Amino acid sequence: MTKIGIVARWEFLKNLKLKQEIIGYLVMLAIYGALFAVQYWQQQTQQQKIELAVAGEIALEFSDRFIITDLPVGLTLQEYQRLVAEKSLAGVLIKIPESAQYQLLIPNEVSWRRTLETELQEHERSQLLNELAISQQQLEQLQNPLDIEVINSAEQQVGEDAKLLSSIVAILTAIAVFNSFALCMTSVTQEKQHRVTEQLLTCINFQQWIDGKAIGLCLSSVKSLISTLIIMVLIFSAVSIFSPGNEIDLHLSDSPLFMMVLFCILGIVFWNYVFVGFSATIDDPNHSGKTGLMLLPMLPVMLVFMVLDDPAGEVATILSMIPLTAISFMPMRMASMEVPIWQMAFSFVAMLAGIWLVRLYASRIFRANITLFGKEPTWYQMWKNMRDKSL
Amino acid sequence: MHIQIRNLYKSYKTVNAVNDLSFDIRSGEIFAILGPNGAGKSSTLRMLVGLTTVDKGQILIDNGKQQAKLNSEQFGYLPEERGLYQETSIHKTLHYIAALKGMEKADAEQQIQFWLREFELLDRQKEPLKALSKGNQQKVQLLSSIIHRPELVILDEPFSGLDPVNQEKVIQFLKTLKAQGTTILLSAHQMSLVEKLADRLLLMAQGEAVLYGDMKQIRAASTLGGTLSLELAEMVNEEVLATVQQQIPSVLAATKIDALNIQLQLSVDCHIPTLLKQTMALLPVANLQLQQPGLHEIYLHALNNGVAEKENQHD
Repeated sequence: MTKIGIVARWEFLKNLKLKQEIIGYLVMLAIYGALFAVQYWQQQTQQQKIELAVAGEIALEFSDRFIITDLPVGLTLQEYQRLVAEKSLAGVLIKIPESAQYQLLIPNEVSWRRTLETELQEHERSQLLNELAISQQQLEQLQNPLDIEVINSAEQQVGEDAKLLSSIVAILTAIAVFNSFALCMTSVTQEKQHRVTEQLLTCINFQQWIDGKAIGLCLSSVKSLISTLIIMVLIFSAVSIFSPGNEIDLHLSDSPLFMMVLFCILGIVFWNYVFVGFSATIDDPNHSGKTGLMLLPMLPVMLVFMVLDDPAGEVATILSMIPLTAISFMPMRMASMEVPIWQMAFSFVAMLAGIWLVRLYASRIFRANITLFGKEPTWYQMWKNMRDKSL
Repeated sequence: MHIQIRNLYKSYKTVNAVNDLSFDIRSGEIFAILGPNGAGKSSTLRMLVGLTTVDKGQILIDNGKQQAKLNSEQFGYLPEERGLYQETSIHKTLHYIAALKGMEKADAEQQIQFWLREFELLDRQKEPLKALSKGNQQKVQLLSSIIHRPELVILDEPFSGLDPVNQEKVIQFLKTLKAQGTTILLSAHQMSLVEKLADRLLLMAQGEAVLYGDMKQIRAASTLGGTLSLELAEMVNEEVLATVQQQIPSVLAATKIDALNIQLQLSVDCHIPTLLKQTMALLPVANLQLQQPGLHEIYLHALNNGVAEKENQHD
């Protein structure tokens, strides 16, 4: 194995804490399981019959949810309250005579109140329409004055499922990139703080070190991406089982999955070199102003949510071909539409060129600063490091 | 491995860390660079292992047959700035360093087990480094620098932070390495320890060589003689002491320690039999002890003389 391979393997295995990760995933699954269980329980509760008393003449056929009991009109509120308690009723609906007003007397706030209100609203609306003598057709026209048929020439439309897939891809990429950020902080900065640097630099050169680190941390990030994806798939499967009718189909088989993953990995490599380079300049993460710059990858992730509806638009198209933002934009577009081959090819080449450049500059910064203890370089010094061809 | 350092210079902004330094390290010897903090020892070693660049001068390996830069497999280095992975087990860390030094896994395992046993750390190999005491952590760091059986071991302050027992263990460890044919270059400021250990020495001050050679050569080069401590059978007055100083040419100074004890400072070319004969004739000696100057005294004497010389040159 080459020295780069040894460093990469070390970095990957150092961050692979199987026992803790399995416990973490089990806890996550347990939390999601509990959420679904509570949701399911709530749904079951909402399907229970409600014993509702009605005082006054209401020409409404209540839904099956309600079991109606008639009460005499003209009683005081205290008397109605006593009856509710005596007969174990859920509540009393009192119609105010010769008006469209109702009073609902309930012992405490209840979840079925909104259902009842909707039914009453619908009833009152029908009554009014009947009084106006409007036909059903006229009513439908009033409710939907325009009838627009959408004819999209693109093979795929930006449906809700495509948007969901795009969002998932963006979130997964963000998880992987921020995982890299956290790992770089512990890997490079901590190594520097623990003064491991000099011992290592007599075993390997700077370039072997930064390459090995970047590759190892990429592997860790890709691993976290895959494990998060597995958790998501498990959750979606659970939704399908416990909540029939709400199944989520991500149409993964229709998407260029390989290309999406490839762009994600290239993006992770790109940002890892940035992180490794910058981490070498940080002496103490708790007091460094440079850690803020490490949040830069948030930008493409946030931006991608702004153009989820418009994957073929100018903004999404251009940003999907710039290395800084392609990591989020190109996979999003691939999930939503059929991206022209030339755009994919251009983005791919631009990404490779970006990685080459960022590796070059990050290596110079890394080399100049990894053995700088007790102080941090200024931005100007870092700029000089980047331009220094002797590094 | 024979290393020749020729006219080496290194400066950092306003500090001249190393100034026209030349010396040789011979194959199989223990060579020590001595000097106080800031003398330029670490800078010299860091240039040798390639951690810092050489401003001017040459580092020749095996008479220039090899390139100036040492291969990482050829040497082991214990940096002054100690540090290994605190959270990782000793066993894993040593395997990682061994792999980076090009060792096969099975060979590395054999070496690791051997040295951990030697350093009484065998039963703690699965523990993270942070669980060990500072002294034991230093032992692990030392092992990481020699685990791949290098031809040359470069140790920057190997005794710092160690108690006398562990210092002695390190001395024995270095002697074992030497017996195996390893060339050892170390820097230190504990002169009494190094005096017992090193074959040859370089004493540095302010980036320059002050004294260089084996102990015999260093003593010969020094202008500092030994001391003769005398226990007298009866009290003598100050006049007798003055007579001793006047009549014995090799006595530079006679100092009264207490009523019955005096100390004579001798010149470097003192002939001991003659001295003893003359002393016995003048003083009622009950007992005596002759002491050669230690490295520490020689170094301080050389430094003082150097400062005086420089001041004279300025005048």
